[in-house]
Amino acid sequence: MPTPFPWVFPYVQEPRPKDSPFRDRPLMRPAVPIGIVGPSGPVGVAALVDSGADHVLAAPWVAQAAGCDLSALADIEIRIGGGVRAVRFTTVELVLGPPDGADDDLIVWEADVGFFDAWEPAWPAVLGQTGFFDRFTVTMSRQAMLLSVEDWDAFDERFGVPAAPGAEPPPRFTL
Amino acid sequence: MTGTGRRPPFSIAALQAEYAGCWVAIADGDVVDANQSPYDLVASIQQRGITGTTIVRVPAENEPETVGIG
Repeated sequence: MPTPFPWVFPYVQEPRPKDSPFRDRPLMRPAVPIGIVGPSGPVGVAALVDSGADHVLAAPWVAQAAGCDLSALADIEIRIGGGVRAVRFTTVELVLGPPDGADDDLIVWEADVGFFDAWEPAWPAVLGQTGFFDRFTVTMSRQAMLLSVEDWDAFDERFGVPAAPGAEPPPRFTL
Repeated sequence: MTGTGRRPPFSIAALQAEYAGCWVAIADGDVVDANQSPYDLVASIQQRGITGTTIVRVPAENEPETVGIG
């Protein structure tokens, strides 16, 4: 029987710089282990869950390790941290499993992932609104230092279908 | 409740003393390989036939704190 939702992942603790004035509290990140699957197979990385990012983004070495050929793809400019970066998007499979690591419970979905050409983020990958938050209902608690993942319609079941800003509801992820 | 945080919280901070500035491959909670270059790390774990790893970077000791992926 598949592991039922919610899948609850503990935050990941990062070290703070030694001269940081914030060393009185831990630096905790909402992150989950995911697989990014290309022609060469899966690459397992720790991915930062970033509700403010619109895309799923990953480091260039992940593309190479997964065997993704980006050479014929167009550069898309994205502004990050005040700078403009070139990113190439391609469709790959993403894989997420429950926090207890049961391999037969893996969820696989397709997403457009933007790979940076000449820049390596501190995290190997970032999970944003399109490609992750449209696949799951994600709840994060700073108080509990936990992140929960549920199926995409859990939000609707909890709060009702939200009003859409336009004449048509936004497209929902379907499998 | 099933599948809810049964693993202990993973701490990159706990790895800094040994792996500061490195990319590390983790399997079953243990570091199985580490390298300054993620490309070399992937090549190494592939050469050694290691699968099922999760790769993450351990910041150097004086590395400024990042916001998001900045």
